[in-house]
Amino acid sequence: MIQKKICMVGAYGVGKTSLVKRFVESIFDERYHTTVGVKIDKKRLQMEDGELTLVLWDLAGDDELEPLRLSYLRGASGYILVADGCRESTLDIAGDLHSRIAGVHGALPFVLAVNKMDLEAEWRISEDRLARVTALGWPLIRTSAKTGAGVDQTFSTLASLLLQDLK
Amino acid sequence: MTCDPGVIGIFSTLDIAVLKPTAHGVFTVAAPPPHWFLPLVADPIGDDSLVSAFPFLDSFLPNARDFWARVEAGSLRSGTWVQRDSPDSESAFEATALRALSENYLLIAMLGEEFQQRRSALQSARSRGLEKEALERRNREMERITGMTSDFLATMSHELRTPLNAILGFSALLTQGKGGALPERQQHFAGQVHQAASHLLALINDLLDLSGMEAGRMRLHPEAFTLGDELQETFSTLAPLALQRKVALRSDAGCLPLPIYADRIRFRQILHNLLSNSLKFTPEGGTVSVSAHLEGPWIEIVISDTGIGIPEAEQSLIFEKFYQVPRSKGDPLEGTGLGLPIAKGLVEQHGGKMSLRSRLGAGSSFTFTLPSGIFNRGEL
Ligand SMILES: Nc1nc2c(ncn2[C@@H]2O[C@H](COP(=O)(O)OP(=O)(O)OP(=O)(O)O)[C@@H](O)[C@H]2O)c(=O)[nH]1
Ligand SMILES: [Mg+2]
Repeated sequence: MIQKKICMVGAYGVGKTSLVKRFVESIFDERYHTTVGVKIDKKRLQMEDGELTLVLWDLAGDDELEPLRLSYLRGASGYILVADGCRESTLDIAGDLHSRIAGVHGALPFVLAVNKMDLEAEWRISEDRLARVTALGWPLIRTSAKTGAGVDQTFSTLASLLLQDLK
Repeated sequence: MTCDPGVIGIFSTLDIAVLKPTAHGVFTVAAPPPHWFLPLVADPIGDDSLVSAFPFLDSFLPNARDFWARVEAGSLRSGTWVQRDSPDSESAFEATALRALSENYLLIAMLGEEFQQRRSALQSARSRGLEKEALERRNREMERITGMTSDFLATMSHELRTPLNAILGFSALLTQGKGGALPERQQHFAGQVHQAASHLLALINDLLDLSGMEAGRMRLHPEAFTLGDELQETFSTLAPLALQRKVALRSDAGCLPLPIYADRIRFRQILHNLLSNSLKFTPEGGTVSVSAHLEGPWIEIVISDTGIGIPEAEQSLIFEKFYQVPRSKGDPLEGTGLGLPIAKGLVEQHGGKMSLRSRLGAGSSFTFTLPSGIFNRGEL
């Protein structure tokens, strides 16, 4: 059985924990319970050529109080960068984390999830900006941990990127 | 399991499991472990049993081995991880790779009180951050809507003015008999049309001013002049109204040379709005007077009347848009209800303040400040 470690990274409060909860347990909580350090969950996926277990590392949000510890990514096969569509700065932070991770661990497969799509009316990241990100070749998926939109797709997109790497 | 007697005493008092890696990939317990440790970790203790109890160690054990091989003495901390013990309770842990006296140790600690304190500090800082950002988002949205409304008003006002000017012009021609003499009754009707159209134009101009101020689009062109320059001008335009209402208009001679540094046209508008308001609410035989003095970098101008006064309940409403003081029946509705809010807005655009003091039966006085230009000309 193949097991892969993937990390959830991004600014605080963007919905990393909520995306994992939605994906693993199919639930959503409006309340904000910040993650300190890291919390690990597992989820089995049925892929075309067999079973894959994702070991999901839900990392604490990156901020001045607790900068991301890059050592947590050791052994990771890929990561999900999460930004909050309502907060433009979180996309800058995602970009910054992406280059820091690549600097230490090399180029790993990743997916960018722009979360809180259910609040699209309050989104503050322009279509232009998202188009520029896509133009860089970043796989971008709009998600909502609240409605579940795009959540399975995010993880399965990353999973198939990992399996491509295996071949 | 073997225990190293030297460290037993130290570690048995802490909530820490102390393990020693051996040559063949297993760990020995170097001190009596805390009560939570053994039920979690299966014997024999090796990478597999440790990682299945603490998946986090999957990444840390390789880091620890690198560290033991690399350094003479010191410690490497793993950072915190959180595990769920039951559906609604979590525990936090931290591991440390330690090298001391040429010996390697792996410490696993359950974090207690201190961790909870750090957690709640982070929780409140981050929650506050999220709330602040959400609030800023709502404020920007409000500003955007206000801006849109003001833009709409501004365009509409422009659109309305064009046909209105035609109505004003042609009704004036009719009353003056320019297209041939009209019967007196029709001339009277044309006069009514002209008067109503003038009122509408005043209302539209006021709306334009207000929306301009609200959208932050009002440009001021300040210059230096004296109170006397503008007061005389305004008094002469208002003289017919004063005469009609049999109210005297006065000013303190001493205040006429006082300097003002403001937008001259807007200042005339402030004076005009305040004075005509006072004239309207002062009964026959009364007086409306203007006085002023310098107050630091400001000129403070007071317009007081011997009118009926404004009841306390209405004093805060009087600067609201479209508020009209209730009047006796049959009194024609003059003004737009925008004169006072505009005067106040214009004063505030200059950085000044407007206030009202009034007592029923004892008259009212409006006080406002504008830059005198004496100390702070550069600031405007
Ligand atoms: N409306 C909406 N709210 C969401 C969504 N995802 C998360 N939230 C809310 O956003 C807040 C933060 O979510 P978390 O999942 O705790 O965010 P996080 O990225 O794990 O935060 P840290 O652990 O502090 O880094 C919570 O109040 C969630 O309920 C979403 O898709 N839509
Ligand atoms: Mg979290």
